[in-house]
Amino acid sequence: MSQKILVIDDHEVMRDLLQEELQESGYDVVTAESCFDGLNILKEQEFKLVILDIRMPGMDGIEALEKIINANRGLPVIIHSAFSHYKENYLTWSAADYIVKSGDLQPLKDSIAQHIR
Amino acid sequence: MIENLHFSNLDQILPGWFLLNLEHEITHWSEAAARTLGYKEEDVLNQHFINLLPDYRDDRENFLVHLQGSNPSSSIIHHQVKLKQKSGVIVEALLSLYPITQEEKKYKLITIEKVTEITELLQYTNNKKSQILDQYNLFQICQNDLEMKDIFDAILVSVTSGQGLKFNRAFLFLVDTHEKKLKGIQAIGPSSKERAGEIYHRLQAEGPSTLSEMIRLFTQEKSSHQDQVNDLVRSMQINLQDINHILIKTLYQRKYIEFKHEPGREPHESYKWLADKLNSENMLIMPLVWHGRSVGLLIADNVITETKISDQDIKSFIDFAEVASSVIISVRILSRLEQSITAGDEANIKLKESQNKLLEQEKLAAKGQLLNQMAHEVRGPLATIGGFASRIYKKLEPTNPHYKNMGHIVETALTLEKVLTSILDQALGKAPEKRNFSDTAKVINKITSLLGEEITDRKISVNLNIQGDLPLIAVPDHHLFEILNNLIKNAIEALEEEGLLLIVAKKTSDHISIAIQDTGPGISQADEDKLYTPYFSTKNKGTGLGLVIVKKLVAEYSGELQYNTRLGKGTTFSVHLPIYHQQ
Repeated sequence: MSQKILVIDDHEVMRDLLQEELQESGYDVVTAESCFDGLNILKEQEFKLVILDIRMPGMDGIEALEKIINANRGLPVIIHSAFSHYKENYLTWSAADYIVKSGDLQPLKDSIAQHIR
Repeated sequence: MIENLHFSNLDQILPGWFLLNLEHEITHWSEAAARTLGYKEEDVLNQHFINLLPDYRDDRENFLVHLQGSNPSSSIIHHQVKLKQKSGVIVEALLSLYPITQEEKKYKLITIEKVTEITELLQYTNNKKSQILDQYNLFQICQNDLEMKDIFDAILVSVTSGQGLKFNRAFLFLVDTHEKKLKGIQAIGPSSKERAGEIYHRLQAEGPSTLSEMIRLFTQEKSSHQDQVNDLVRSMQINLQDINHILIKTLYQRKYIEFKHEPGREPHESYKWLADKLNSENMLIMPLVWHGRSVGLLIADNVITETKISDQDIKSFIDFAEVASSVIISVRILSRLEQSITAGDEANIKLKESQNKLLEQEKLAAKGQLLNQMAHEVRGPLATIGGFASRIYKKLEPTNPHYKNMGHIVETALTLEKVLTSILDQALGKAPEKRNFSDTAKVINKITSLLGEEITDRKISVNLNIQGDLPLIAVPDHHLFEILNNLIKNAIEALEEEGLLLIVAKKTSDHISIAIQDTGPGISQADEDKLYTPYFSTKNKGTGLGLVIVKKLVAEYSGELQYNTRLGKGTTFSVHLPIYHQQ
């Protein structure tokens, strides 16, 4: 059985890109367009890793990060954001990694391979 | 004894009299004095004389000493004083003092005459004036006084010109309360009889018809004589404490003196000093008094013509001195005002500048925020273009006609990402190069002082043991602060009241080791498992990220984090961080 990854991002095209690319790399990918949806999906299914955007309408990724980790101890979360400066914000430091969005997906895939449980 | 004296007669002719001993304590109080001033014998007997003076006088303590000089046998006749009645009303009176000896004991007999009541309002305003004078240092010579040269010239010309008081020479002295000195400031006339030159005579004899024309002419024709006489007067400075000095005495007595130097019969050495300095044996010393206080002195003489100083001259000079004092003080007030207005203007300009700067910074920040937002909006979609393009590109055979073009898209998207990053860096203004090292002792001291209030409130003893001259640590200030602040705060929060916190910092081979030890309850086995788990906290208000942050930062700087805990005994966290080596 392949490893399941949840992608939470409000941009549909980004969700599609990650889904296609990661599935091709052998992962089972589920996507959510908001943190609320993501948290609900996490309650029903078990995942090996979460990829989380920060700037999203409704609940933002920083708030969701605490909720995800509190509800799913040991689940690695990789922050995937277009902003680089949140890296300095210690509220993101509980995440397993912080990857700035780029057309080059290799760094993200390397991080997934490193952190997936 | 006192009773034997025929003082009782005095009661009939004087509104008041009393006796002082040499310590100026009241030893005998007359009925007349009791009537006039309202104090009964028991109120004042053995009390110091100064209790009769108004409270606002700043020279109360030494009032009589200044008045009498150091010679206890000298008398004072009709000195105008203000006295405080028992009711608090201030009265003005003429005070006289006569030293007397009775049965080998020395006393001072004080009589008061011409007692007039000052109204309360007058007393109040005088009091206020006195405060203002002190507050604005109006008796202090300041830099601006040098710019008052023209005013002083006008005063001195008025004293000397044919259209004015017609004295041959005039010297101006001013009190400097700051330096506690009477200082010679400016003078007019020849420095000596012999040096009386042609210009001076011409000015005296055939001078222009009006005083203002004379002042104008004088300022144009300043000769070397003036430099000499000015140098002379400026060399004269007398300490205000030197109360036996003729000039200081005149200042305190606030009454003019007709100075006559009679060689061989000098009451004080200053008589000879003054006669020698000014090369003159007859002069008029006129105090410049403003609202009861002496601003300075004017000295005038007729050293050239040797004309006798007449009573009319003295009377005119007294009137002129009053005008001169108020001119000097008014100009000082104006110049102080000008100073403060200028200072105010400068402050305004500075304020405006910093406001503009702030505005500029705000604009920059807003601009930065906007660009940041834009970058985010662009970077996301750009990443998807690049990402999809690269997915297609990887699937194309190099022989495919689109292979090369797809490669261009992938490459261009990545280049654009880099352009975006550099635009952002420029727009936000590159963060100032942060120093990548820090001083352990400084950071620890900063933290303990920030936590000082809590430490005091909870009666915690902090024991700092920092090895002297620790080398710099290879972690930037703000990150070392973050690491140690979290550990020290945790330790303090674990402590009971009156607990002990021990911080030890020392050098170990290539590292600096910092240990933070508390005498708290220790960490239970269950909690220990979750120690580095994010959002796990045993505290009510904790974020549960403290140790997560510490661990992450310590790892980032290739350091080590360890802890040692014993239930009921306490916990020690130790951080080992590398020493900074200059590149």
